[in-house]
Amino acid sequence: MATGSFTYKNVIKDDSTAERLVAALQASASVPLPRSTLIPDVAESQKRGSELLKRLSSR
Amino acid sequence: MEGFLHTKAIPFEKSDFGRTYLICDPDSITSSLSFRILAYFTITQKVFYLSDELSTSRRKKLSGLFYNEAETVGYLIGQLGKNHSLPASENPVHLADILSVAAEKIYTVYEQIGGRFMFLDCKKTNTKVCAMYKANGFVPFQDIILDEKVEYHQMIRMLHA
Repeated sequence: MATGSFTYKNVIKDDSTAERLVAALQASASVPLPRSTLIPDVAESQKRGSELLKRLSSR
Repeated sequence: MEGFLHTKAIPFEKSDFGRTYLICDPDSITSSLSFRILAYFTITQKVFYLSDELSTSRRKKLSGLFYNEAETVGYLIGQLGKNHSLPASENPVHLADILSVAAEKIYTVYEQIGGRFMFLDCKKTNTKVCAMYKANGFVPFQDIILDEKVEYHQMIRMLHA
């Protein structure tokens, strides 16, 4: 994935892009959210990840 | 994977520009020195500006969706990666697992402060990865050039209660 994504200036530049944006949003709304069976306790997993990142940044 | 975590993740964290989440091998977490990162992702917020070139009718249509005629904010999953240096037998995490955790985090923020969509950028030539994002509800709507002239699909997914 691109690190440039973080600094890129996003612009909906014309009508056809705007139409595609609206259509994409509508199409995406009906797809169920991804579900992980591998990580049943997401909150606990995220808490551990956050703690590890703090450990990394304090080195 | 290491490049981003070593050079960008910590400055992003310290500047509150974004948050990076690590998915680790739980059996390795008790070890202070040798925990194993299986995957990671970074989330931040990004503005989408609505160009002055848009017609009045399109602008009104978008303003109905975003409650704003000039710009809107989305949640960017700006980095998402799996640790491929581990053999597959030692890293059971799949893209859907990473997206599931990222979506869970974004929905927590969505419930508290709102928002209309999350999005990500996928290299156009990575057709398999783009297909996996599509299968998880991310729909491409425009192509952009990033990182020295590489073309990416910008893929979006609506947030809703």
